[in-house]
Amino acid sequence: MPSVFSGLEESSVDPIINLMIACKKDDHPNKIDVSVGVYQSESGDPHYVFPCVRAAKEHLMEKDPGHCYTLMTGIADYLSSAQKTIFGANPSNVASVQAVAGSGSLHLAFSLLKSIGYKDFYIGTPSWSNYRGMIEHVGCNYIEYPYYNYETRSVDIEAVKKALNEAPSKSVFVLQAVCHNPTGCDLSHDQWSLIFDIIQQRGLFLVFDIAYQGLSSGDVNKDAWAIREAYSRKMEFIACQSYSKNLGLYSERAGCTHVCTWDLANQNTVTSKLVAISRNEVSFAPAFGARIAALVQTDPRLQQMWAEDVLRVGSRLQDVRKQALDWFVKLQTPGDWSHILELAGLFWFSGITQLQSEKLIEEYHIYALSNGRVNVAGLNNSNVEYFCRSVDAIVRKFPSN
Amino acid sequence: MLRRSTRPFSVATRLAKWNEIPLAPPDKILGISEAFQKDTNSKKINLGVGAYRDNSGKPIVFPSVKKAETVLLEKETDKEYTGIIGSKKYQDSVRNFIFNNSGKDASGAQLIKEGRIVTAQTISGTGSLRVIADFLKRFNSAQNIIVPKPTWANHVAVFTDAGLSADFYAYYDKENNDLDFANLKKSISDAADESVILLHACCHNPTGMDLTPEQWEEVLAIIEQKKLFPLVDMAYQGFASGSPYKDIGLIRRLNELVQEGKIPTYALCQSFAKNMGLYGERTGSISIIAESGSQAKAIESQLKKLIRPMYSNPPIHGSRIVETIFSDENLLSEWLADLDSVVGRLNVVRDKLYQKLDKTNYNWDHLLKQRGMFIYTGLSAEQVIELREKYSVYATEDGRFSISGVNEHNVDYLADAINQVIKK
Ligand SMILES: Cc1ncc(COP(=O)(O)O)c(C=O)c1O
Ligand SMILES: Cc1ncc(COP(=O)(O)O)c(C=O)c1O
Repeated sequence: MPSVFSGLEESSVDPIINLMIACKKDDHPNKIDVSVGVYQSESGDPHYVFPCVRAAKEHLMEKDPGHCYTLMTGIADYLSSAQKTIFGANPSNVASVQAVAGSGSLHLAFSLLKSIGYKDFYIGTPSWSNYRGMIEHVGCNYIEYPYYNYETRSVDIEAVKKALNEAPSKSVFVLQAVCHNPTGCDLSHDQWSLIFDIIQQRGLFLVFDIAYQGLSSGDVNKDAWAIREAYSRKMEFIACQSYSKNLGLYSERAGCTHVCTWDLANQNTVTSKLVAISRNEVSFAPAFGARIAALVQTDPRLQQMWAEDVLRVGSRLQDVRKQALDWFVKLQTPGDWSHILELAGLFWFSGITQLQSEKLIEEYHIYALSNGRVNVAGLNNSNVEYFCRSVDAIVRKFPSN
Repeated sequence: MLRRSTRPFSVATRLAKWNEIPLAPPDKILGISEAFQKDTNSKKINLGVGAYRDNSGKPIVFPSVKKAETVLLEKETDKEYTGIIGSKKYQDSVRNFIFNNSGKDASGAQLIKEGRIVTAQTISGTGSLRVIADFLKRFNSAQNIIVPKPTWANHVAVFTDAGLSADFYAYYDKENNDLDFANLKKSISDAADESVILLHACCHNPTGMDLTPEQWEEVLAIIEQKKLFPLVDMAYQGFASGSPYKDIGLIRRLNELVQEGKIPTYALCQSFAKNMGLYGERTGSISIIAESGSQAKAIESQLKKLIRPMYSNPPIHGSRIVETIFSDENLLSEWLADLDSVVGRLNVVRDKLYQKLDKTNYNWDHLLKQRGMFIYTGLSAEQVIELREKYSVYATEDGRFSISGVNEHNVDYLADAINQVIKK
């Protein structure tokens, strides 16, 4: 019998998913997972629960707020504390709406911009693989420019400037505020300033994606520098915030869209538009994760715990980077590995080739992305040596060039 | 071409076209809640929001849900990402719960066995409606949907926002406060072949008036004949009879028709917002019944492709509660009992209110036919406004009362107020 869906074809899966499945199946004792972008504790546990989150959950259990519908803008305490974490204050000219984690907040931002006529979205490559789908999903154009220079292993600032200078005015630039995924390579303060100048002069629009706040410096305030700087320059922009990584709330889906506008009269209309978009898609963002995030950011004891948690995570990542570099130096691994220490956060764009990464899986049970992205959180005191020795062996056996 | 900004710097920084955004109309129900909150009358009653309140007017956490949360807090450590369409465990439990309920749905069980039912976790009922709307927009030949008049306030917006065109079919006779079955059948028969048709599985929102099994038979015959695509919205499973396994007649019948090859496919949007009281946790599902196992796989992959760019993956707090309850027989029977007592209370206040209403000049019999969270009073907008202004009784202007706002302590006051208002 003919069906309305008869012509439907199966769509392909995200390649990272296949890698995750293969990694899960592999039960070799030396297995190392440096693929998926989630934090792992020193003992290699990806299910690491931040102690402050644990405490917040216990608190919620005792003082149960129930599960009632929340507000369509979001839970009030959550919104105000999310603003503080991003801006360091509650600016009166920022309209904030709770969203389904970072992804949902980007989707809201893109939908809002689309509704006021923005069409061209610029993404520096390589980048997070979901941007293209998200931009095309709202019916806008996804345009790439090079962000990273593979030769110098640093931001290709000339290419970034060129893209900014050549894009039609009213283009949108989506920039990661900190811990660039996948390169780990962030803009310096000077580079940000340069970029802000061009954006302001040329009438471009800026969307910040901040999904790893705190994991670079170990301090959420420091990691918000670019956004606060843009604010102090009186720029209009949107910041898309996620608590997936910096509170380990991944699947609870806590996020927020912050729209900064300098015409106060617009604030209500912006909020109402964001709410209208949400209402036709999800009605409300989920409560539980937001309740945890709100508690952690408002209860003085939990606030303190969170600051310590984030600092501990940041230091551990930095320490493991240092250990890795020490091993590469000691082993005299061919190539220049010093960049591992110049970066911060979860990601290290290692320069490992696709072939090398396949061989790492096959011969050593080490799972990195095929583009060479290594999540350094997968490394720890007990496996960093094995990891470096394996990379060393593979690089010698299958030289890059 | 040389592009040069000629605007002064300060203007250039404000070029975003925020000014062009029109103020979107506020949500009516929330507006009512706000007005209610500001009202200082100690006798005030809120009949606007469709969420359960207990006999003292307080929201509740289902005891079974609280137990499941305790279990989770003790055991759970895993916060890592779940799949784009939720965990396998959630999909399986929900699919079994709905399509193979208590082993009484042989056709549903067979469909599950054949791998023909795709179930995906969604952001509650709204999210599932949106996902299916986007899906139909992309893959369905017909690009229009017909919905009952009246229907849930958000339905039309969700579908049209996704790019489908929406039209109404007749449902309710406001004059007689009853189902308008003759016109219902007529307007469905008049719809374009292959249209999508939205059906409320039970506890029709806002009228509370459902079709009888015999009436469903007639409607399903038209659906079959006109090759309409049934899209079932089930937001109140359990609120009609007190048992989710009884409120599922339409789904069972559809499964039979699918097995008999009379209706090739259909879809179901489902929510645990009301029947587990998980409102704010946003826990629901979309199920699509495909023609074959391989088609089901293709549909599943397309659902993932659609959801990923919207929000990546769904929230797990609510879905873990659902998984926990469905995987523990004691908890499951506790939940069924919790739900039964919630619905029992609603029926008690419904009866009490009916008894106290003045029937000399006004026929209130429709109250007894209506099921679920709402009574559709038939009061006019003016009467509703008068109730609000004179008696601090807050309801939407279509005359829909959320009866969970009524309890032993305020039912007399409410009945008196209504009696005063209709007297005139
Ligand atoms: C750059 C970037 N932006 C946004 C996100 C969104 O994550 P989520 O939706 O889980 O908050 C991620 C997650 O991996 C990311 O890497
Ligand atoms: C008929 C109907 N469908 C769907 C929903 C969606 O509810 P939720 O998104 O909270 O699950 C509701 C909620 O009131 C409803 O009444």
